[in-house]
Amino acid sequence: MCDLSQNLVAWLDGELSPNEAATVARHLESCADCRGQRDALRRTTGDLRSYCDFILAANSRPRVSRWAPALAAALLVAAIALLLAHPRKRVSPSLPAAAIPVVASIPSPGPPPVPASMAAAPTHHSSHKALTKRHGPSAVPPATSAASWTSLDTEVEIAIPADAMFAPGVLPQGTRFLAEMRIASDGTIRQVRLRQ
Amino acid sequence: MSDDSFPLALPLPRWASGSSEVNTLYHELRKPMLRYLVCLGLSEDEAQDVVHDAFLRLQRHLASGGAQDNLRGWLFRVAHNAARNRQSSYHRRFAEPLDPGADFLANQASPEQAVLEKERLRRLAAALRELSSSERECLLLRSEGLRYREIAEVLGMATSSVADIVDRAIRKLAEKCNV
Repeated sequence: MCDLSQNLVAWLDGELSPNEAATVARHLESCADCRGQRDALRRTTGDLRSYCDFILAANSRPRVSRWAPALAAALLVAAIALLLAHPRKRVSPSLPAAAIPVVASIPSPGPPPVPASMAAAPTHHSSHKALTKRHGPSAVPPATSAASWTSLDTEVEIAIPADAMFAPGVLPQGTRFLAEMRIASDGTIRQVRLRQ
Repeated sequence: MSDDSFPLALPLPRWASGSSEVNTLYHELRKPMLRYLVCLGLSEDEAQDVVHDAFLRLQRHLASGGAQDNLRGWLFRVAHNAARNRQSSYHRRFAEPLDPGADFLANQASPEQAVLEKERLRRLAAALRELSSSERECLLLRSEGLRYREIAEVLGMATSSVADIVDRAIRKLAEKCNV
């Protein structure tokens, strides 16, 4: 092995003085063995750079934010909690009409009667206006089917077109009312409120 | 990989729009520092944190009248020390086998070339694992273009020692990879 071969790495890295570098360069012209070493060292140096580039690229691939799964789970839990906290059924007025034993308590002219148990723990619905438009006792809509939800002890909300309660032309076309009912566990309706 | 396509795009920090010297160093050294840190075993997030912290410290260093010579070595030394403080990450990198992914291999001209490239990188990774930590660090810093005196500043050793270690380490790699 040539004595000068020990300077090949420093020569490749440009760490030799100009005189030393010139000496190595001249030697390489005449020594095939050192040229072979130089080529192998250059190749390995290039491979090492490729390796570093690969490691960087492998650690930098586009990915979903690390918060995305947690955020999605939190949104899902919040949505479920909202559904559980505010159970509400909206029943179409096209359901088959049938007489139900509604004990409707339409507030007149005072506030709607609220059972003591409800007054103690009011829901946000208790702040609603009890009846936005009142037209006497006939304003109480004909009862609709309560077959499937009489066992609920929660609120049921029914959308009622105004045309079903008033003569045509009395109210602007498209006016709808919402009837809110509180149904006790024994199936009786504790309270009915109409709001527009 | 060009700087334009560099995947670890960092938002331009506050200090990068201030001192022109810090700004220049940031654009020059951000990618090499990240690559060095990731090669040492840090995750992308850890590496970015370390780089940001190093440049913040550089800003304070310059604002307090600190020495301005060999700032490249100074920055790499700060980053290197921060990386070594995360020993678990550091050792994780070289304990794991290299597995070039499909994205990397897809860049090769042909399937045969991809297989050859994968095999070369595997052999290189295996040879790197057999080096001592100082040999590995010297080579990785050299790969980022640091001069021997800058590597000596980063690793806290004499420049002549760096020359010896680099010479010995690259020859070990060449011996195992060029067979």
